[in-house]
Amino acid sequence: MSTQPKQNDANYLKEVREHYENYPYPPMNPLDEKERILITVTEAFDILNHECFSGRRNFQKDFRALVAGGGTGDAVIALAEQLRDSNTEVTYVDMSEASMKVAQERARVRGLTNIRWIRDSLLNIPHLGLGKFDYINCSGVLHHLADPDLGLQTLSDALKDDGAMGIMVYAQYGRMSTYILQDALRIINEDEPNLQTRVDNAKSVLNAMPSSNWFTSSPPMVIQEINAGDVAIYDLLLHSQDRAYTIPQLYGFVEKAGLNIVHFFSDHQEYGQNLYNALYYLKDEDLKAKVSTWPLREQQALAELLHGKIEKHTFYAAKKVPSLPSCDDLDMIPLLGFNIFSEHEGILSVIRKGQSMVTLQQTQTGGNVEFENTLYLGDMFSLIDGKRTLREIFANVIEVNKGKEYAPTNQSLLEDFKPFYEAMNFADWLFLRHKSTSEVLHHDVFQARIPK
Amino acid sequence: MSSVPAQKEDANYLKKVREQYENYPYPIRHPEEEHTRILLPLTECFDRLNHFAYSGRRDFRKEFRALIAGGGTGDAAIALAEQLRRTSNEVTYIDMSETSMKVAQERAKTRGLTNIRWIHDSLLNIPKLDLGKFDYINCSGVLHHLADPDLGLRTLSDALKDDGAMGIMLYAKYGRMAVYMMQDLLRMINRDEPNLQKQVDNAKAILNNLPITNWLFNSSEMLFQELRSGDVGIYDLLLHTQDRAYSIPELYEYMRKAGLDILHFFSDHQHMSRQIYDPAFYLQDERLIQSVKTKPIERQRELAELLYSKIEKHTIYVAKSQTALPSVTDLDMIPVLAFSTASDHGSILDTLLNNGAAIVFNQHTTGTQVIVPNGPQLAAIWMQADGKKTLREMYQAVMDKIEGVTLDMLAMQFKPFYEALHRVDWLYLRHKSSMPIAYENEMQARMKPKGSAA
Repeated sequence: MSTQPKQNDANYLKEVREHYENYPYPPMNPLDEKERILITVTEAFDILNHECFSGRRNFQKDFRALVAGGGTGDAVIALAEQLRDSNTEVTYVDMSEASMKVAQERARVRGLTNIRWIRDSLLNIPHLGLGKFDYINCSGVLHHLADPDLGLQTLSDALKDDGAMGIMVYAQYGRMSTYILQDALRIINEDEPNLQTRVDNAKSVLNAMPSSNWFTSSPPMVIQEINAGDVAIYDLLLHSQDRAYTIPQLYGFVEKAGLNIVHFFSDHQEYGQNLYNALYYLKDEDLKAKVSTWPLREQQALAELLHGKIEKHTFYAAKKVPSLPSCDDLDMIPLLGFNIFSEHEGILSVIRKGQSMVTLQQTQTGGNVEFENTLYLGDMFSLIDGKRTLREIFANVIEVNKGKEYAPTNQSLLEDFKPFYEAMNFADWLFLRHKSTSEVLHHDVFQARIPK
Repeated sequence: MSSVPAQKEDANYLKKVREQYENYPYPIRHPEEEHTRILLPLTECFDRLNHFAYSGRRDFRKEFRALIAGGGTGDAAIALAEQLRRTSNEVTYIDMSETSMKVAQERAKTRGLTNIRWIHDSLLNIPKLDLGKFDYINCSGVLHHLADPDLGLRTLSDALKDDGAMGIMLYAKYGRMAVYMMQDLLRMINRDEPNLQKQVDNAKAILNNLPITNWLFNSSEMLFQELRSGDVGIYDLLLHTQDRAYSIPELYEYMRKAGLDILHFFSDHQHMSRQIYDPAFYLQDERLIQSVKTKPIERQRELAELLYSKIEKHTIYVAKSQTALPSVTDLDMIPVLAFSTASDHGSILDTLLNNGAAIVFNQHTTGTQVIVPNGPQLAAIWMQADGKKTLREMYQAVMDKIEGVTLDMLAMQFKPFYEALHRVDWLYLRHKSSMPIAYENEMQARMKPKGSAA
């Protein structure tokens, strides 16, 4: 079951490598590719372009992406599928041969040939002559290194000055119960060399665990892990190298590597983008007023303590903080996010009902968006197709409603559209891309081109 | 709010902590309640103190010098002084909070206790106070609030006789996890708020609208009781300026550094009894249980703490060396019902009389259940147990009444019964040379009736 290390590197931990050879993570069945495409949150081009490249990046031209610690392939498949017609390759690096084989098989099923596969530690990237990248994904990897600072610095060195990174690292407070259980299992397994017996022991402890144990109150996503089989149990509870970050620690970690945090994602979709918003949790007006004067990072640190169960931090980082695209620029194209794309008709019919305040509820996640309805919002929204610019949409609405009472103008439409856009964008449901960029494709398009 | 005299400055004697306890004496006690009840902290009950710390052989009527270090509003001092009331022994109380000491003094006055020496000072000044050495030192909920807990414990260890014992309560790490997160949160909220009452008000505002996800909602019932007990409880739990906690390995290491051995762990989670520190109790797989039992006891307790994970304080007896426990094979020992079960003698007897081969005892207040094999003469033996007769006298009385039974037969029946009840802290042993145990009703009976002239 063990593999021979190619390189000798103190930071390239033998136990961690052995772990991932035996338990490639996350477990994936390549044949599932025939049925569906997984687009990981940070790799979706709608939001990536918006948050990291001012909506002006054309991904189909010279966009060099690296997936560092690519595991069983989620991020690399998502990127390669979106870049299927581009002129560049996606580079995958991982030290686990078993994981890479799963990822390669997934790519083969999808007929993707635009991935360069490298079996190595991400710490060896400086020796591989790969050049600099526009985008680097590193999800669930850095917290497993003996020296995460060195890992992030290595990636930062491989990033272009105007490039961006999508990173996920564990969050301290949400994993509090996990670490207590890890400590217990370390004692249980201290004389047990066999990986499978260690997993069996963990299951046995879980089965008999007293209800007092904090683990029983873990965040739902952590609890799901233990029901996802041996691999997930090993990754969650028996990892030999595992650390986590509070918000202040995270800022320190990222800034030390010459990077800025650009955007936080929320894995707790019921909170949406409010997950890191302290003002969302506070109800006392005096406290709200006081906290609103704090620097953003301190407000986020407070939000993390108030929520208590954020178990991972998923975020974009960049060397320079990019400016966000604005709907004041009428050459911008509004596009619905991947997660809401299929609900275009439903949203439109809610807007068309004409109520002055509209609340949209996403049934799947419980996330909701509230905005003020305006006379031509339905007309504008009906024209959002991810291809038309705001200028084209506004012109169309002006043309159709010419001569009416309260006939619209560019100015009046923009004033109506802006608050709607801001509410939708805050929920990661609506983004902007510049007309110079290529169209953002969706899941059904990706899936339609899979060879049978 | 009263201000604090600036006397006796000491780097380890933190100004902010002193200020807190002047404003919020802890725990809240109302002296008039002494008329209706006596509070006996776990560690200060002479039934178990004698058993665990002095091999059951300590005669509290002879010289017994007790010190309460950080006595607060008086629970331990009152308990010790009440149990030592008809002896020539004096209890020494020391605390740096004048407000707390006044509450304790008022409680003693209400009870008519005159055997307490009151010292308003930091326990760190004990070496300079020339108090001599002590047989017993209580220090409950105090050391974890010092800037240098090591120095605090060392100071107390130096004041302890070689054959003395200590009763200590320290915060436990994992059970207070959610508390420390909330403390971090409130430190952020209150960082520019000097007013103590405003700090408490801010804490309440946060608690009132805390997201349901917060770990605090998953804390143990005992912590919730603290929060419900008002401003003082909230301040002590969530706004303390100096507060640390110990995991089992840290606790052992802490004691070792001060030259102390842990004799006994108490359980504050009474439904768990002493099993709370036994990892086997949390495991089902027989192979794992056997494997865990081969580990050193310290390691086992470390594992138990992690598996239970909500032990929020460690209450222990410690001594400079291990003490032998009294044995039920020593016929000069007297079985003593614990304070908590003193009134259950009759119901235990009924159960023995009315059951077959195995007996199940249920203690209603704590939910503890004990299963004991019955014996033909077990009820007859138990009938003799009055807290005064030795085992020899009890067995003899049974042999006098029932023909054909031998001492060995009786001892063989009583041993497993004693062991089962002892394991759940219902039954202890004391040597015939020691002072009889006075129970709560006797102690309360000594009180002057309410309203009579003091």
